[in-house]
Amino acid sequence: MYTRIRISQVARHTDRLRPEMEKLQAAIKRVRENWNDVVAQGIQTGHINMVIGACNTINSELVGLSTSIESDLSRLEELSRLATSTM
Amino acid sequence: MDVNVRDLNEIFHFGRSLQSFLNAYIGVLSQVGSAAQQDYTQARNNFNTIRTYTESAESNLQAAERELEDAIDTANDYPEEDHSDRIEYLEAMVEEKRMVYERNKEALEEAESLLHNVKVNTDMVWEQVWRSRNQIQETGQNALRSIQKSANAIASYKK
Repeated sequence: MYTRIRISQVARHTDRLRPEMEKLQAAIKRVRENWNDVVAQGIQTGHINMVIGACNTINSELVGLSTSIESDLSRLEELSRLATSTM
Repeated sequence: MDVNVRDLNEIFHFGRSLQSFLNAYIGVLSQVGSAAQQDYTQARNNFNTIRTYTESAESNLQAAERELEDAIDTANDYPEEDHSDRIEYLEAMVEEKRMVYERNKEALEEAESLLHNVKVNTDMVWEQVWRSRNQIQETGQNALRSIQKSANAIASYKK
């Protein structure tokens, strides 16, 4: 349960960067179109995309693990309730 | 063509956003590791509860069996008295206690395997968090350097 809550916070942080990325892309486009293509290329969006891509991969791997933990934990709680109720 | 101040500001702004994102992301990532540890602790507590109740069910069964044996011994010692009601009652008690114990024993076996799974997955979360921290720090620093370089280039054109 706790793992999943924390992972959802991680995912929210990633989502918050997305609109900022869009603004940057627009700025790069304007630099390229209106001024200097070399400088526009210098803003290596590849690096930034790598950050976003890595975060998305990490998020989805962690979500997979947290889903398994949550499901096992929930069954353990159920078994624990059953064991205490039979006494 | 003149450098657009707005673009420069956007790029600087993005650099700051990226930096603050990286700090927040890495911070929350560490909390994921702690949360997984909390989940494992909770799983272990549940397992311990099941084990305690299984042990208790086993000792209740043994006590009921002993009581039945004593009743049978007494019946053998005093055949002139009718002990059948008491023996029947104790046999039913033993059966009931045995069912509870068997049920708890099965639950304990399942719980043992679940706890093992939670441990394995918790360890994997820790590994993933550790690996991800390093990866994000490295790629994040590269991205920030690229932003800084470009912003500097634009600023120098501006002068």
